[in-house]
Amino acid sequence: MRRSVSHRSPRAVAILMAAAVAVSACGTDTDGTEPAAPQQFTYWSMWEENEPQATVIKDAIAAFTKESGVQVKVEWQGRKVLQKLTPALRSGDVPDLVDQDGNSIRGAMVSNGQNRDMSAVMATQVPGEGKTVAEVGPGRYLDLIIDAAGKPFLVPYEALGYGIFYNGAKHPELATKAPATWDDFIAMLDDRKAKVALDGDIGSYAALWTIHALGAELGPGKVKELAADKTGQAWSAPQVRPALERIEKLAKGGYFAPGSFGSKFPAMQEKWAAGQADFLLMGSWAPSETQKSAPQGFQYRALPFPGAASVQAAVIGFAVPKRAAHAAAAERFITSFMKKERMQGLATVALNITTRPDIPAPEQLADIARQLTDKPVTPFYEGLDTLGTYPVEVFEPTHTEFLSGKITAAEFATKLGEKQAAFWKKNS
Amino acid sequence: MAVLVREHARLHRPHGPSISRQRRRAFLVLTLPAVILYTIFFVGPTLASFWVSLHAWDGVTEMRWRGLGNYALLLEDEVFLAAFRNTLAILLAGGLLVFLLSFALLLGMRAMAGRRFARSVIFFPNIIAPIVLSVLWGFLFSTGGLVDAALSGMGLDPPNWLGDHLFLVIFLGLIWTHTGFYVTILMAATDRIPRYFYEAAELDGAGPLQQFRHITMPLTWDVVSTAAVIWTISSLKVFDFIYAFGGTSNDLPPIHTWNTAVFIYAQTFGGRVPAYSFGYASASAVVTLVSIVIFVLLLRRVIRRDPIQF
Amino acid sequence: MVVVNLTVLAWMLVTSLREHREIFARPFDWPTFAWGNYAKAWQSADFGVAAGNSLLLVATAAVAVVIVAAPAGYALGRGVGRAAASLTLYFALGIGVPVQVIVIPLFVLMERLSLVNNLFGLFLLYVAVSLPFTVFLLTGYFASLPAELEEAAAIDGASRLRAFWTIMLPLARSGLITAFTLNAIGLWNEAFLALVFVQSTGKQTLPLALLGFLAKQQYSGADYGVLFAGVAMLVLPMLLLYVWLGRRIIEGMTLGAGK
Repeated sequence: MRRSVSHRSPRAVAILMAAAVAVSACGTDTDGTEPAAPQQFTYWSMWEENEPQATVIKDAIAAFTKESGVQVKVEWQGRKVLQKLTPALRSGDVPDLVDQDGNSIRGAMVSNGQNRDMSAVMATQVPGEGKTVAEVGPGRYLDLIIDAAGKPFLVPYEALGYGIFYNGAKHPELATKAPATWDDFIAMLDDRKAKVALDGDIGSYAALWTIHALGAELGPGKVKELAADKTGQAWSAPQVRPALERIEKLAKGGYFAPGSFGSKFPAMQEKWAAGQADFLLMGSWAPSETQKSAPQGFQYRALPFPGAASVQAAVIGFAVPKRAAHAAAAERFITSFMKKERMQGLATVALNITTRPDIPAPEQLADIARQLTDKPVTPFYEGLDTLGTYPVEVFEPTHTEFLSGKITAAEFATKLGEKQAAFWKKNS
Repeated sequence: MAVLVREHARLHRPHGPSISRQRRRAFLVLTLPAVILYTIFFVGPTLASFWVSLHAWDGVTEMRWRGLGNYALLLEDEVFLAAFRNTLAILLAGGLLVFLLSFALLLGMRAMAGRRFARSVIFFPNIIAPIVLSVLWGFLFSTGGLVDAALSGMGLDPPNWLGDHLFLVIFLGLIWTHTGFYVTILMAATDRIPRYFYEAAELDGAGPLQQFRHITMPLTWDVVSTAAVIWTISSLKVFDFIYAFGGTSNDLPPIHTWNTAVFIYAQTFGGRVPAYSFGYASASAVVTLVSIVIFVLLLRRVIRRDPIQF
Repeated sequence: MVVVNLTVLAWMLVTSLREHREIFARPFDWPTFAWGNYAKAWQSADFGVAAGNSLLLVATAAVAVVIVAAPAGYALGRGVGRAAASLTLYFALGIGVPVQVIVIPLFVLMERLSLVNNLFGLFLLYVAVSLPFTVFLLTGYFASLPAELEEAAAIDGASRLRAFWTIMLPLARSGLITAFTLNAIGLWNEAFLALVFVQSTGKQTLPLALLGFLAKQQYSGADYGVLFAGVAMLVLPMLLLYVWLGRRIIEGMTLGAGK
């Protein structure tokens, strides 16, 4: 220990010098003049090194380095990348580029003002395509990636959408005749004596049903207003009632497959894939999560949520920390990654939906991808997950009681209202 | 080796100014490395977090002074209070069960053939990743799972374990995993007791229970009381096992199963979109810490006895 | 209890040899000997480098903890008076502090010392974090050792340091080995500090590799057979170490106290 202490001051000087160099480099970068020295930047990735997404990004990095001479130092951090970023943001020794889903980035970087405004990148031409980054696709998701001032903080490359998944081989008629309204949907369930699978132990998965029903009934942004109501009484308003009553009927009507509220994830999703239930309301990762359980000939299809004018979506993309030393180089990489040929692998190799509508989605996600291009997008969970611990402390516990049929719609509205009022009193 | 009480030993201890100075110097030399390391890398940051608990802080931007505001909120926060109750339940009820079970096993294993092996096996849940246990628990207790099947086989109507009694299920799992640890510690202590004590007792016609009461308990009392304190303190840090019931690697478990450690995690790094409320989390840690201190002091007072030398 | 534990272990090993679909269809069944699970797990997780790091880190840190804690435990356990009592409490308090709370101040400290993303830094942290518990454990242990030998040495004029080194340390061997084993096992599973303080993949420890592996399993097609194979690969070395050292503990005890 003594050794490290004695080394401390020269090291501190070195850090200061490095910081000074970085600051000046940053200054020249934003002016657009490239320093003569060989450039490099650091990228902390949400992917693990041998995941398919990582191989796609790795190829793109190699191509980028070849055309620009910029070296990219990658750390394949995996999903916990932002947990590592938070302490680093405090100390100032930050990577130049990170990626994660929009809401996580919002929580970790935007709410504390540590993000760089991506407006300029969105307006930059994608090399060789004659269109800006926003125009080739990411612009569609603007609502999901802007901060309080309306400036984008993320450049999305993957889109996630929600739908009611089913096996197209088992229910072939649904592809042409999707139930348009909630009543049609329930009638269809009755008709087929179909069961809905739900891993109800995960509060946010259970909440999908009610949040979707409320969103369909009330329109964009309204559900978040309900949740943000300081008195909690908004939940008892007359216009909220119909959606809650629909869910009440779903809860008490025995539509959920047995075990939906008494198993541990992913048991129910596995049962669904194995054919023991018919429908699964889930995000677009459902096919890849269940592919090992699905029998031969299983066709992943998805219904839009009945009666919903928009589709709940989330995006995964790149963000640049405010104090990044090589922001310009990182942004150049982002722009180059938006090229069709670079992003294509995300669909063909990683089997995800990209943010470019001109890259066809993998077949098992075609229904979801069509929703994402045809309908307006609304934030996943109607944005409730950006309200701190509100979902896990307030909404989900009460809601799971409701959805599992223990309390009625009216009781749910009252109880939730009370808890919510207490929560906002605490968090004001 | 005679059985001596420490009071008796102390009488024979030489006293003198030079020796006591020497003793003090030796004391310093022996403890200093540990004290320094511990103070810099542990106590320092802990004190810093006391300071943080008086602020609102997201971990990145400047702290905002809140005084005791965080504490006032905590005492009204139902989620925290429930977590605190769970922590106490694990500490008290769990502690009682763990120690009863440990002593029972100790007793049962004294004369057992292959006890080394048995002890290794009992300890083994400690080294298994909680995720495996939680997956197993899921299969065992899920609706229509093995436990349900057993119960309905006996003509009983199985409850919804994971839905309605999740905390109980977790509680049982905690006791199961922790018992091995205490059996290990206690067994290390009992094995130091010279065999001839037992042989002599056997000759006098004492049964295993009597041997346990008159030999094992008194001679291991020190270790037992240490183990009790270790349980107190480590029961507060139970985390992984509860957390593993959160489903995916991102989700938190239902709030009625939280203890204060999970609460702290939820307020800082946990969840799909973490809350990063370091001030509030620090305050809850301080409350927990202070309650342990009080409890440990009480506990030590209650179980203090003069150790018996042998 | 023994039977239950053996069943769990067996179940884990059996499950690691089964196909994903069958596990969910019939959680409790015989293995189909899908050895491929192990190959897949080894391939998709970077266990190789991580295992090396973990082994080095855990072995050195657990030894270092015992080296630092043993003298302190001796001084506190055999010491009388206020200083010893209050210092004992000082260490005991540390056991209750959750790491999550001190992680940010700790990070700032480590950053100033340039010890972030550095295995030596993590080593220091592991030693520091394990100290309270180890000191506490060993204090209790030394307190229960017979006093006459030490007193005899004192009368002989041996210094306290020498008494510690030549008499008490060998006596406490089983306690030291217990402390080492428990620390090694605890650190082997430690994930949180490693998660925050290690950034390079080349420096990650096994629990980090496991976390990454689990996340990957979940995102790109859960395969619980492979998952369990991965977990089994981590548990088995620890189990062997424990079984092996468990014997050592007993040997140590016969050497130490069984006169």
